[in-house]
Amino acid sequence: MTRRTTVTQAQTRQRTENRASPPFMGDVARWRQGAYRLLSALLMPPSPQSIDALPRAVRFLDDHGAWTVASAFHGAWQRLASETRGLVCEDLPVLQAEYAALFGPGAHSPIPLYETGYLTAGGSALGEALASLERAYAAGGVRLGGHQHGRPDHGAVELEFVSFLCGREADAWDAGAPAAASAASDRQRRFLEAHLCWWIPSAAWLLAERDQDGLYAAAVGMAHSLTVHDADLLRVLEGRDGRSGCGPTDVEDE
Amino acid sequence: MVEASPSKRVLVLICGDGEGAVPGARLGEVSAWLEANAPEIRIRTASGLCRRPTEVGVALRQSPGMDRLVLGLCSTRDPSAELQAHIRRAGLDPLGVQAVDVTQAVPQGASESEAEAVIETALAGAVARAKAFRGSRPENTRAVLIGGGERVSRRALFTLPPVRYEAVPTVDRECCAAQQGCDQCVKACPLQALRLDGDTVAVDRGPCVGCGLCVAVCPQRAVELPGWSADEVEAQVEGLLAARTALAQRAIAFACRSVPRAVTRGWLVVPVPCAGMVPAAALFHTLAWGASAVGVSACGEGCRPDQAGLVRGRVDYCRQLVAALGGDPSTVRLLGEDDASPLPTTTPLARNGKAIGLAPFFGRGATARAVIDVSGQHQGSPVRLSHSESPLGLVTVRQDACTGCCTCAAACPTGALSVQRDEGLEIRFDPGLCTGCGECVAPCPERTSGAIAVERVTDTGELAAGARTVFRDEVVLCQRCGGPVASRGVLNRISRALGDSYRTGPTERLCTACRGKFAFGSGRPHP
Repeated sequence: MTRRTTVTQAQTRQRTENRASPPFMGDVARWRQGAYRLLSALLMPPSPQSIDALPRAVRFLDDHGAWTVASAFHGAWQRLASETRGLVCEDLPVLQAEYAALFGPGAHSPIPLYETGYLTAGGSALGEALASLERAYAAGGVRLGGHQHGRPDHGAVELEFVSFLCGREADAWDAGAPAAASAASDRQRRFLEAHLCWWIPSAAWLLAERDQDGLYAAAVGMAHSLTVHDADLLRVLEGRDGRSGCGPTDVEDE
Repeated sequence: MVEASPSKRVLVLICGDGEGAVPGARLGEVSAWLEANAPEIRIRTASGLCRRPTEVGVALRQSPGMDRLVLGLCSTRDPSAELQAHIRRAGLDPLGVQAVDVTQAVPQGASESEAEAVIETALAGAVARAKAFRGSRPENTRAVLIGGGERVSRRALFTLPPVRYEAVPTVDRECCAAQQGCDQCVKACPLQALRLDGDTVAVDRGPCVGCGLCVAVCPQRAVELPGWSADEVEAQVEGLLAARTALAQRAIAFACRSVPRAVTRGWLVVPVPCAGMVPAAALFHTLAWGASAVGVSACGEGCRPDQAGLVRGRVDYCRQLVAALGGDPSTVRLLGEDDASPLPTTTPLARNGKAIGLAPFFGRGATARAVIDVSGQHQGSPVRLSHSESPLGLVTVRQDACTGCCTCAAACPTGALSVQRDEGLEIRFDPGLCTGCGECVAPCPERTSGAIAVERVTDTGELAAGARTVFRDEVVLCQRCGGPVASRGVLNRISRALGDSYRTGPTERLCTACRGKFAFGSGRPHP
């Protein structure tokens, strides 16, 4: 006779198991939610608030990301973490100067941090790209408020959107709803393939040429590694729920 | 990140259990030889490396600051997800790790000193290959679920399954000639995983199995497949042949990942993702550089790239050419299908630290150079070999049928056909660049008249003679501006096609630009 359990109890049991056990999908999605939010913050102009928050965010992700050592983006994460862990408020002027030199409007050949900056065709292609983004945000249930990032195709906005979708996926796993989680991860994959995976590699390449050892090269490098990795991993994970025979909301003990 | 620096510190980890698995082999002597001959490497011996990936992790933590890793194991298989994680934790790229099966390389009944020489040579080759690894990009890795395709339990669904990563190719946009019309890799892919995308080629990671056939056919060496790149394969062969060991006879086998170990027993193995990736140039150069024999593993049943016929034909072609040149065809083997006759004991031509020659196996002109190298070993008159798998071709152009439209040269993906316009028009053919693909024939407007033909032929005389003119014609010049109108052959062809009803005068006298400004016969400009 099977005994129904709540997802919370199953989740707790999973988390108290040996650290070598495979990570819970909800935890993986939460980590990715935090990582994308961190990357979004890094693509914004540095501020006293971000300098204060970034090291704490990195430490949190380090503490909850033991599983990332097995992931192909681990090297890029380690590099970013080492650049960010020791940030202090005294570093703010230096980072602001670096940011301005690399991305600011007054910079010599500024590196675009927005998707349409990498379009080679002009005219309607620009409008189509922005319209595609707006549709993706709307389909994900998100409406940009106040344009605090300036434009919908800014890397910080796109990464924040993926973070939002990861959070939705994590909520679904926590609620024991693998079908809903699969739908959220599918939306992430399609957004990554259509947008971030298309232009972030070019940005990473440009930054590597200009700022090989700096924080921003590490940040965009991590964005490059994570987006490409996740798009690929989500593709191979697709359809696993179809092979499980699992119901939409229930979790049963084996 | 892809790196450019060639100077790398290499850690060689040798499984201590190998001493028991290979009777007579003293791994201490092997380590001493490696240290004496390659000071930039560090050697450690540890037991259980083959069975416990954690031992690799422990050894890596005890040897910080290394850039590359070579594993000398008692058996090799695809690296597990756990092993990849240990390697990644140490800051290394798992795609660049070389694993050598030290037991497989030693022939049955080898003496103690022979066994040590074989292992030293095999490890030297692996070190050379590891140093040639230039890193990988995120696009070069593909996740593979362990146990993917199996039914997933309800509990397992809520956990992240073990994931292993394999290499997939990327195309260097700066080197890629897709914009000039080249699509060799797209056509070569057996799984339709590549497609033209603007001025470059895009790789679909889903169907791609990383077979490397795209690497082999690219004339620009623009396809990068980390861990299996052209540079790495070439470096390993050079390392195997140049190693200063006591190993007299060096038989080199290009073996794919799925070949049984027993098939390559006694051979120095150069791993490749698919035997179809190994071009004839690799076999010829390897022989020319001093290998006593060269082999390619036969394809197994159910192999997805399905290159069994190609590999068999290619080996047969190489054998026939070696025989035609007066050499011993048994120096070229198809491992797993040929009989297990003893390997020939030819005296190698170049060895023991001498510069091998650095001739490439892949890329534009590599095959011609390889044929010239191997034919240079054998004296005799030029050889002409017609074979369906000849990687070289010969183009013939009929002077009386060709009109000099030059469409063939525009379609040629390798530049074997080119156009020179000095005092007249010349179409030039370079047999060293021709792959016999036939792309020049289809677009020729005079092909039904037999104006152009291609044969899959290797002709050492033609290769030695080099590029030659295959068509020559005068160019009619514009009477107004002096610019070219067309070749005499094209104008004659137009006149024949249109017959007496067409007044050819203005067509011949004026170029298209000038013709457009003036009405036929009136000499007055258009309003």
